[in-house]
Amino acid sequence: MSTPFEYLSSVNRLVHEPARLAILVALSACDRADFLFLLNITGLTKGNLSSHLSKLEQAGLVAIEKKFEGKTPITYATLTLEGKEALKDYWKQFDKVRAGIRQLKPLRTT
Amino acid sequence: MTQFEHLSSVSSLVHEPAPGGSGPRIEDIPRIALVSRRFMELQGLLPAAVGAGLILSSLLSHLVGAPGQSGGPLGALVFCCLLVDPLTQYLQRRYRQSFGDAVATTLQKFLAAMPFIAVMTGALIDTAIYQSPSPRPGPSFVGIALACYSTWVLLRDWRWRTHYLAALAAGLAGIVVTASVIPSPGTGGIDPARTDAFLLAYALAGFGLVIAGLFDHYVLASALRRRGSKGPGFTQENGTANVDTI
Repeated sequence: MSTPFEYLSSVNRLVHEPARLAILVALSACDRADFLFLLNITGLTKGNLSSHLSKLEQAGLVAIEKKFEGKTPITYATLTLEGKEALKDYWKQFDKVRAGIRQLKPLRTT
Repeated sequence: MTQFEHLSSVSSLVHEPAPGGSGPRIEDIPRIALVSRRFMELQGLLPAAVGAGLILSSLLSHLVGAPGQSGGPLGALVFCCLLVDPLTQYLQRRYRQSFGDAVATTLQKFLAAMPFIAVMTGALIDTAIYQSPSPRPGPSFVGIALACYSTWVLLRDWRWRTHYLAALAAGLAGIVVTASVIPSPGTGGIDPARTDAFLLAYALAGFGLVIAGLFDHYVLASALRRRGSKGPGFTQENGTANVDTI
């Protein structure tokens, strides 16, 4: 059986970063979300959010769609199937780490 | 998701960006998950507007003498719908402009519409019973619907939506008020005492919706508050929202 530290090392780094994890969690809870909602819910700056979304899009975890409503451009982000799987795997790994840590016994000192 | 089960109070929903930098911390994840999932339900000014419409239309119906006319409490509800429809559309637009848009799933949309569906279905059943040739005594279905909906919300989100106790109390009060009035036989659909009791029950239900809605809005606004947002209102371009202006 792997130790929790081995599980930790195998965690998807792209998903594990708090800002990206926040974006993925927000998107997993709805159909799709626009840029403003993600700004508000994550508290990121526009530049940071844009950069994280680009990374997630490049990895295929998020699909970006740009639309016009009247004259206003709106950017929508959607979690792809790959993104849903990545998030599911991440939580599985996370649970294994937690369970592993719970089973660790303290070292006995004499 | 079991990862979020430890989320326990409204205070943990308040957005506190990490000191010295923007962006979420790992302990913000439960807040983000919950608010994203309940985004439509927490747009509390919409049910609050319906509640205010119910109070106003019940009061107006009472003042213009609806209890002495055929049709009873139905007029109040029709007036409430006419009054509230443009207001809810305006509020939906404002929410979208202020907080952005998280397009809800079909189930989330249905759950967000539940207070309206519950109240309107209850009112239709009330009207059908009220206008039947031999009306039977019994509680208002609006009160029952509101009490059931509030109980369900409390059971699901009791740690951070305890304000639904007010809506539950209002629903129960409406049930008691209407159940205590016995219909007069052979009045041909005109029963001022019973109509008054129904109007009072609707006003109470409206009051419950206003309280629950305003606190839902507070929870949403607290959870999405962006530190450092300056100036009144919101612009889509700069992407900031000032929650106090909605």
